[in-house]
Amino acid sequence: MRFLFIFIILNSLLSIGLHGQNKIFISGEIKDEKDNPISQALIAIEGTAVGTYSNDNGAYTLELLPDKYKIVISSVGYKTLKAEITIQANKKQDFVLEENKVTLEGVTVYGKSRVQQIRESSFAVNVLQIGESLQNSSANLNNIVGRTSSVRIREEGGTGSDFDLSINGLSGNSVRYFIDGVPLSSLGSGVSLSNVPTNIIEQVEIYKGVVPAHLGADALGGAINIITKKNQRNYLDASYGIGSFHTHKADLNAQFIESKTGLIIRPTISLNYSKNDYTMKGVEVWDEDCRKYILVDRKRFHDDYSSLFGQFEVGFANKTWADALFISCSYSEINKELQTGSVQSKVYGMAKKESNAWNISARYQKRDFIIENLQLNASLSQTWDRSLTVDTAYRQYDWNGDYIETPRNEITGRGRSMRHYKRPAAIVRTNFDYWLNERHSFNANYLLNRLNNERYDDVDADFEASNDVMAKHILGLSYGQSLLKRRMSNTFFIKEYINHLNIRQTDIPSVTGSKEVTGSITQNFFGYGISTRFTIVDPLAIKASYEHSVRLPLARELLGNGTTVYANVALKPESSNNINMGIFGTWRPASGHTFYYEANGFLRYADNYIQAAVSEKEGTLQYENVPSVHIKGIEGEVHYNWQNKLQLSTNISYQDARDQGKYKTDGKISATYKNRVPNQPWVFGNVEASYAWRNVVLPESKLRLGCTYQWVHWYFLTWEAYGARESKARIPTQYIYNTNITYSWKHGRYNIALECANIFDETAYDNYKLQKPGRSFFAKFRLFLN
Amino acid sequence: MKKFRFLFSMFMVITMALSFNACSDDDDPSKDPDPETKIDYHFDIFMTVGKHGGMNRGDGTIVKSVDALTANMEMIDIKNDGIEFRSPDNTYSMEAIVKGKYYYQVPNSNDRFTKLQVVGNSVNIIQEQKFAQNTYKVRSYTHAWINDNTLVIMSANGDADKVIWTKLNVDDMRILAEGTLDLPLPEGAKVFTTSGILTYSEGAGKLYYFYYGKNKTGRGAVATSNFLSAVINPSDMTIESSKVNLLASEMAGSAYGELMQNCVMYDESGNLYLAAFTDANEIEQGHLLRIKKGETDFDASYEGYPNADGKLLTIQSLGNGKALTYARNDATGTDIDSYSHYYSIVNLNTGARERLKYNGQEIPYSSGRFSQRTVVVDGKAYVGVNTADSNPCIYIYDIETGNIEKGVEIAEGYYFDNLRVLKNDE
Repeated sequence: MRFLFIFIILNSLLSIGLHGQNKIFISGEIKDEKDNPISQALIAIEGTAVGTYSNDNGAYTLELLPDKYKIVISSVGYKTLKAEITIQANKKQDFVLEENKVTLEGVTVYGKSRVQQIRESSFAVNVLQIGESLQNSSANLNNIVGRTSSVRIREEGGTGSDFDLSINGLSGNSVRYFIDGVPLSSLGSGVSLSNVPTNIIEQVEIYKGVVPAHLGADALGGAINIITKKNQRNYLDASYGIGSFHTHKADLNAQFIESKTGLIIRPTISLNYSKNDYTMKGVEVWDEDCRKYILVDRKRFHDDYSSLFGQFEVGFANKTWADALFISCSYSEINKELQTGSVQSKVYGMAKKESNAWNISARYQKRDFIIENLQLNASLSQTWDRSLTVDTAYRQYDWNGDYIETPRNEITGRGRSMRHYKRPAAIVRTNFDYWLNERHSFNANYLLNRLNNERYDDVDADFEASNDVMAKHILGLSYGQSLLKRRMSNTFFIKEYINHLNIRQTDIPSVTGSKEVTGSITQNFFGYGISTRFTIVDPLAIKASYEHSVRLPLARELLGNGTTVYANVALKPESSNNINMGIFGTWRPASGHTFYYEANGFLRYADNYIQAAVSEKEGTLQYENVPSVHIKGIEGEVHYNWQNKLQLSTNISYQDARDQGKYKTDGKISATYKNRVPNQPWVFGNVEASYAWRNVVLPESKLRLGCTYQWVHWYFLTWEAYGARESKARIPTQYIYNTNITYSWKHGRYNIALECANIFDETAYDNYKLQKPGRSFFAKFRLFLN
Repeated sequence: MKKFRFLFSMFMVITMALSFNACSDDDDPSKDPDPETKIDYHFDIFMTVGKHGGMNRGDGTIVKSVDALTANMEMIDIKNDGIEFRSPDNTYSMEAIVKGKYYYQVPNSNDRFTKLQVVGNSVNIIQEQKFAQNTYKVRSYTHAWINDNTLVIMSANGDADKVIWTKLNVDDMRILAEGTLDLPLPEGAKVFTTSGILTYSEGAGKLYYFYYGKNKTGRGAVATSNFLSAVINPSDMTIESSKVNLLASEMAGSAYGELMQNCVMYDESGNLYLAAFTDANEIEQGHLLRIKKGETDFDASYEGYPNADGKLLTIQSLGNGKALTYARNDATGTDIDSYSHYYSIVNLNTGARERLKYNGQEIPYSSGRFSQRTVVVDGKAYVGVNTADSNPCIYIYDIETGNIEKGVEIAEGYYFDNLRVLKNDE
């Protein structure tokens, strides 16, 4: 397979023409006659499918080859503007649109936004633009990403709770997270989709199964790449929100450009706090009078969550010596009380987790680096990440908030523990993009992620401190083709994974394998893939992709945790053969009406799953490779947009994960072989609708009313075929309705949003009996100055 | 469709019956229970799907209740049958105390004692008792019955430097008393083993507690001495004596008492027997130790399981000076699912033992180190096996005659970890 793949690439290389042409950028702002920015204006090259939309600040950027173009700029409510422009180098060009007092009938809309372009690439990818409506809302990235097809997020509670995100049925460590192509963990282990400030985000790319080589990911099931804003003018974006369960959110994000030197300063700060004191319905409390447990409703009492994220970035953009050079420093801190264990009947009242991380990083971007058509993206990052789990109270709590003094701690039922993890991490990313011509491009990516894993305990004297070192080198090479006048595009890629370990723990070598691999060890693994897209007619295209993906074991899996998890340094990486195939298209049946549809089928053949197994010794775990699952599924989504006023979208996902462990540990056929994997949602969907009115009450205002509906079909907690069906534990069907109303005036300078989540106060849980919040309200004010 | 399913099911049943006729060649109707004899007990078979159920490893434990285990019974299967061992708000552990009609245990919530019953395809909670002072962890405690109504629970505390106890009246599950043993750590030890083994000797009127100390908690901990035996006054839980035994290094079941496997038994004379082992000759060599009725120390002259080829895992008294043992041949494999485990009938007086045989052939090795698939009731020992080349099934050993017949088969595909006998409801 590997040789076939290399052959395909070599064969393709031989067909490459030699007409090298440099890609350049045209950028600027779209404004009205009163100098107000116009968002969502379409900037398109006439006669082609190339185009983009202006962002909230009216800014746009188009990537083109040097040539003469007829540019068409259109926006609802404004006269369409056409201009002929010749560009030979990067160019800044602003446009002013004239308000159209007459009917908009007959305005021709064409061209594609950047979001649409990525969505229509050969990869199976969802792209979410974090537009003003999302930035005005209280939704975090988890909420937003969780409403897309194929993605399911299972939360254990309210704000800041632990969650598990799955893409096409693969979850947990199978999915990798990035911010601007750099692992999100560089901001600290506590930073996740639930607390990354949304107002710094331009868009989110969700890669399903097949992950482009430029991300440098050892992802088995997919990757999520957060793209931050790259505005080119001064602005201040500040918001504060308050909601149910004593929830407060405040964000500040700004950019100041010093006019003389062009020095750009970007401060960001984000605060989240919630008591999460929502009502738990039907929890057990002991009634001594009737001597039994009775079911009552009680508020959560030990679930405070706070997060702080601050970042300060300085640098330059659009200089002759750098398209971007920035240095940044960030700090994150998460404090989290723990209310329950893995089930709601395990109630905690004192245990908590804390983490903080400092990061310093630098990034450099340059087009035409050394040679023409070569673009360099490089970044360096050093993170000092610490976390602490405090479990020192010898108490046992109940849902009344009462406790008894006990002879053991809350979480593990053992002795007191203050467990520290120090994980300094260095990340280096180097990415070269080279366009040979408009049809052929190459990308080379190198990612180094070096991690120390130092553990110690303040009070548990028996805990064995250790400091292990892991370094992952991930090399990716890809070659992209654009053929048949861009109707077809192909990408071929290979990835090399190098895992270097320095094992310094030597205890119990017969169990951990540390006798054989003490000291340094380096392992190599190989991955590869291909993706293709072919446009049959404009509203109909097909795409297919394949990747043999690999996930390297994590520190905890390889090296244990010092107490309850033994090391297994002989662990193999997980691997999967991922296949996607789908159709998609954009159909514009009439002026102002746009339909986008997409339907995909996917297969995931995952093997050597890394799974925790109980070892013979009391209460200990060890990760091991097990035969895993095959997943097949289909998903579809449809979007409809009428003049940017009415927006409707719906998606549905079906996935069928079957156990592939043919044999039990005793060597006999397992009853679970080819059975549906339990405790996993297998069919779920979302519906969203919104309508926007302009100039309501105040001029230059916008009123938007939106609602969402989320549905997850019930599923069994355990293997469905075994045990009397009527008595089996289930995670019930979820029907969650949310609604929101947003009012913006002064062209989005002032924004107020009111939201109600879970309107009908449904009892909902993603994990067995771990209740999520009921009905909640949230109000947010956002100020955007530019 | 239903008709097709029915025909298909019938075809499968007939096919299986024919293909496994080796297990059915003893279904002589004359061996059916006498219809005049009222059977007031039933069997609960614990099976798990995907993983072993022992060590509280998952949510997949399913209990199937059957009235008999004889060969004429339908193959035991849990496909769409049996009950998950849980209630809506709690999950129960396979490791449980069984007496009379009920199970007693600390469930997964780790906050209460629960008395429950499996009836048909339902789990009925009879009575619960919230922890008052001492708290215990699921499957990590030992127990003893002082009398039919008084249950003592005991385990190490969280720091594992003390041993805590609670007495329960199982009629209403009220806590009668609780406290901490005045038991010092063994010399050089920093912690106790998690549960130890507690047993009540009716003959002596004392509680015996077998335990040892370790040099630290967690992985890599080693015992600081051979195990010790403490004699406890059951009325006030005072320690009357405690001494290190000289015969074996460790008793079986040190971490989870007898919740899963029986490692203590009494003979008709009231002598106490304990399964134990010592690391010797590169194996965990089993020993069967004895404390004579009324004495406080092991009988140094006694070895009930001489020249063991591996670890002695479970023991059960059959009466008439005989015991049923489940042991491992370490040379054949020591993994949890190695096919290296076998049953023997042991003569307690001489130490002579013989592998359990069927049709003159030794029953092949079984897999399943953490299992207790034997019960003794009504003059018979029901012995569950999981051999490499055939379906799991039950052998029925007649204690008086020594005859053995093959009983019911158990469908393949599951982990068959536990067999229990309980009294029926009136």
